[in-house]
Amino acid sequence: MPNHASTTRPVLRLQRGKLLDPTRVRDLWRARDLVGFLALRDLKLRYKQTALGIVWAVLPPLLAMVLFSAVFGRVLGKEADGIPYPLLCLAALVPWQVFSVALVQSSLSLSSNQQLVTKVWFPRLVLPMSAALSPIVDALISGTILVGAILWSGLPVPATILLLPVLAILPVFAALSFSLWLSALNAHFRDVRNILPFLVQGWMFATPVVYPMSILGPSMKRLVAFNPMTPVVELFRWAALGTPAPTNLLPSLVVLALVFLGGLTFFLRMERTLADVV
Amino acid sequence: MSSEPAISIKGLGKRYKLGGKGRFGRVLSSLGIGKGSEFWALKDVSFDVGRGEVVGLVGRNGAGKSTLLKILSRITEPTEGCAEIRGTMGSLLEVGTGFHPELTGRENVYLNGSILGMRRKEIERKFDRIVEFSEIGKFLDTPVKHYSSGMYVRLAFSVAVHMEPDILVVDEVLAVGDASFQRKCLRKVGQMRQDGHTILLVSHDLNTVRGVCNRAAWLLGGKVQQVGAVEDVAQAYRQWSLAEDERMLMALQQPSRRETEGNDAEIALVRVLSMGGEPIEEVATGEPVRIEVTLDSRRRFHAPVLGFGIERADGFHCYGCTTEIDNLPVPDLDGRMTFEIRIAGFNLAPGNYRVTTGLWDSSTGAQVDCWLDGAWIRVVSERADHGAFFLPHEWVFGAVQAEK
Repeated sequence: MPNHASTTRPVLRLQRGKLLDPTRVRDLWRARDLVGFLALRDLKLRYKQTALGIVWAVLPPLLAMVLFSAVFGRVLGKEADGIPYPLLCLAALVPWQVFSVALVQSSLSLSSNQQLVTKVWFPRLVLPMSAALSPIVDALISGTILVGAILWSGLPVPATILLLPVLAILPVFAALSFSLWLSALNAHFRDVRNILPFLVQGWMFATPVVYPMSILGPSMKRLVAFNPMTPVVELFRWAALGTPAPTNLLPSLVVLALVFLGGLTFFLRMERTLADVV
Repeated sequence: MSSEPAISIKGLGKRYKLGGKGRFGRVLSSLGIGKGSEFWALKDVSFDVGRGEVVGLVGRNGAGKSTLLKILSRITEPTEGCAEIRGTMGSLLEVGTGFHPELTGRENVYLNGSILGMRRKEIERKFDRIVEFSEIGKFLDTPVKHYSSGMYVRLAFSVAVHMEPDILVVDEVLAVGDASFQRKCLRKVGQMRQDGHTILLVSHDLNTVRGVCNRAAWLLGGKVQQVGAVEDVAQAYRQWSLAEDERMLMALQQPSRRETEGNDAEIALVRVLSMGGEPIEEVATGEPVRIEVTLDSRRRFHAPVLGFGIERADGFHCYGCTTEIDNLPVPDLDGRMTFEIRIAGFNLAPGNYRVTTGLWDSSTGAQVDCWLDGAWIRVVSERADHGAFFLPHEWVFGAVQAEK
């Protein structure tokens, strides 16, 4: 009999919520299995009924590398900072791919799981979190390709390359921070879905992905330093190719912290009535 | 056992904003700054659900049942008031929430179980029982898109009933699946009740509520109309429901207009008369009535067939007969003709009935005209008989002895 108990039974009080409630953290921790299952579901579904399957985790950054090398490589020269352009590009495309997939999927996660949201309770943060996490598996695979490409090119492989799997959490976190805003907004206004592709595309050109930091003038350098994805991309290049580590970290860290904390507050505020609007 | 209720609901209210005018108004009101119109789906709802009770929630669509379940399930939060839940809670507002057609049965069990709030270890422990209960067997590793709808529902329900929380909130989901699986589910609910689980369930089927619940709450227009023993609430709700149906139908109870141009003959008028020949709208159960029918024809019909019937407002066909069944010769019809059906005792239970009439050409067998609601009659009674009809009867005591 489950109900023999006792006065220690947990009491849940349902009322118009307070924003800061320690039980929310506990609830989120309890739902950690669900984050995993949902991320796994997204991963399985992405490659189910595709002829190439998991190859699709590798192809997008490779194809983008070929494309960008063909177009920008001509303008920027075969080498930059002593590194062949295609490698410079690939080292940045691996985290960028994770970021862009995570950002899009995570931003749409509330509306695409509308059925769940209106029929069952769980901490809603689970949805953008699991959606942002699933591309990390792709990153591990495309990261292996990157290492293979470096070996094949005959460049020295720095020891810092072992940091790549750890660094892969950075684009995921950046994407999550922004999608806390975007997913909550998209629950109200589907306009977000339409803007997203342009946002991602514009953002990529505002990030040193298809070009090295070194071609920017000092004023542009100061500007892109506010972009949270700038140091992420620079860190990947540093770890994989031994390029100089990013130095001006403060502006982007401040931006990221503000976006994350603001997004979290915004998300938790609207989470409470999400089922009524989504 | 603790005497504190499992669920206590105090002054619960939920307001929905209906959105302002125009695109800009909608944007503002969804951000909570506009002043679109609003409506209260729930207002001042208070009642307790004791530990180990099975409480049924009844009410019409839009009465606030689903809103209440959504608040108790934490899906949305109340605008005012509060509810306290003592114990672990599981809610089941839909069978198979989160099931994905591309995933296999096994994958869906883990995903769905996890969505319903079970930990991975818990699902692993209960996995064999879930599969056994679902009777899915060898299809466990087949994507559920290949399942029949029955298999899908069985698997989904099996996951749900194995949540085994202290308190279970269920919305109209026992009505799914085939009859034998439904019985299995009701047995499971009964067993959970015996094991001391608390259950709050919504059902449109009053019989289900009476079968499994010991108390009931009736919601009307977002407010609690009555809470109490299931039989009391069910009876009050049923009475109100019938009266409400009647009120709604009154508006509809006018003979319909028909398009009869081009017919060789038509039923022009149907009237219900008292034995004295006065048109009446109401009759007491068992009283005699006359149904008067007027026909107009544009050509001669040799010995046509006439028919009439009585249908209850909900469509139940109470009685019907024709001159053919009565093996009755009918005079030829040419021009206007009036005939009457005299009914010695209108032996129907109180309610609203329509009179249907028909005319057939006996030479071809074709229907010439038919009027499904040429007249309406309301039956009243001061007696409290059960059922749809009044069967004239008498009670005889000591009959066996008397025959000897």
